[in-house]
Amino acid sequence: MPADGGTPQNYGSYDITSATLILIPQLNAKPVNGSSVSLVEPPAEAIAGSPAAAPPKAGAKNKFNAPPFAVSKKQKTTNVISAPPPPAPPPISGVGIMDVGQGNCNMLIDQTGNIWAYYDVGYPLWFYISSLPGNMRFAAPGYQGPIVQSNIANNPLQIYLSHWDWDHWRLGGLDPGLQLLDFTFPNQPIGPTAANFLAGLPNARKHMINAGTPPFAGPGNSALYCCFPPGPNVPIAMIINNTGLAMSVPTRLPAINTTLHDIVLTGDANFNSVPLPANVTANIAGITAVHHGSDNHGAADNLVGPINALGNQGYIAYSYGITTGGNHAYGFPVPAAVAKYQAANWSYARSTAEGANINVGPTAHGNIQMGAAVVIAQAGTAFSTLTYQMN
Amino acid sequence: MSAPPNNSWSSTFTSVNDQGQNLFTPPLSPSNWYYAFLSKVDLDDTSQTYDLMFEVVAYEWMQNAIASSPVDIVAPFPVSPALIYHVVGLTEAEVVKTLNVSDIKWVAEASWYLLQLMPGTNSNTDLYDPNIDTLPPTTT
Repeated sequence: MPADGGTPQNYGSYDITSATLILIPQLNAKPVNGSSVSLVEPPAEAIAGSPAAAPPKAGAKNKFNAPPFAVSKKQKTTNVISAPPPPAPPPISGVGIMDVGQGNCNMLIDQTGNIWAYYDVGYPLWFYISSLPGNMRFAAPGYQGPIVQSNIANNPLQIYLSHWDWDHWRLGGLDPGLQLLDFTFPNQPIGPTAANFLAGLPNARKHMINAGTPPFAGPGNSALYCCFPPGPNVPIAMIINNTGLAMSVPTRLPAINTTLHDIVLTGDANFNSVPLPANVTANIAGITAVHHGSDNHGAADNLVGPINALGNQGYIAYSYGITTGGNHAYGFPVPAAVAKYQAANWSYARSTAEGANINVGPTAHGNIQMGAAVVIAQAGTAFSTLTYQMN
Repeated sequence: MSAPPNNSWSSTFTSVNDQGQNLFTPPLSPSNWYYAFLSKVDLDDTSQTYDLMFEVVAYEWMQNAIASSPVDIVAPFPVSPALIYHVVGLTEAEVVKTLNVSDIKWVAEASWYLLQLMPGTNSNTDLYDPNIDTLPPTTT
């Protein structure tokens, strides 16, 4: 509901008639206020020659020199690495790559079909809302929603956000069940709508991870990594996608093996931005395509490879959306990126929008289970049925 | 228990409150200016066009709540009347021109802009309350 208490409205078409760039992200080699991203005034060379129109003068200060929606330094932060190690849990049996239309949502599934955690809880932008499966359209009569509770005693479901992109967090702002869970997220600049969402969560359930935090333990023997782009002079357009959290999850993959291999989830972060330990890098059997299958800003470059035993049949899942008009949002997955994954031996592929028919259709919505084919313990939700098995 | 204010006082207080409500609460800016956080920049490799998504707040609200303060506020900010402004299908040249930057390399997520947004007719743009996705499909 909007701040004025009225019904949310669509105001229709508006044109940008004047624009002035006032702050840009800057990458910090050493974290500043816990973040590897600061907002600074742009250099003069960034502004085009034509002067922009001026907004009305108001207020005494009239200078926007601070990121007003940054999470307060006083907000609770949690350095999970300092917590006592959790008791050894049963290994996660696999990862669900959930069909949320144009967005990302992965869930960690254990051997009994219970859910331990989400890595991202995304939802499409309004323009791409029709890319959702019917049972995930919030407030629609058929809405079934995600699984929001764990059946495991003393182990509530947890949510980890890769970064603050709308299509990676918005479902958390929609579904009231998810808002009862703990959120762990990277310390990044956020916008007004993300700030509004965070303001509605109790501080005790917000766990902000500062940049530079060493890899730390997640649920079910998973591990999380603070990402940082390689090189000192990366394009500023790469900063936000590459300063979030990535996750590795040891599972039985291939499921016939008793040896555990890792599934690595990076959200929109490039693989060379993730500080994976060598023992994990050498033990990967499954990945999700970076940034929904983008080929921009090196998203499909510098890839890791699967374990040798898989040959060129490494497991890869693509999460993207196709609208009812047949439009692939943002053109994902980009054919050139798919070719790069195949060249790096990630050829056993499924997608949330098209199943095995990536970029050749017909569309066939479905959740993907990468790992052992276990039955989800929670029935009656949009996440209870895992259509595509990759085991 | 003290006596309630008489009708004259109540009327005055209501009028003062209304002035504040009218100036600072509605999401649309009376001057058409907005502070805009560039939340998403996506390149469609197939069409070589860009989608831009801004989280915008009326200039007047931001000036009142944030920029007019003589000190930098470190406490979390109150819930703001944030809107989404989305524009799709811009070429690189159009992005650069529209955002008044010298090169596409300066267009980055997490940047802040001051934008003047005027009602238009371009079907590739949309200004909306983000919570529009909470409404049943039959109403939207």
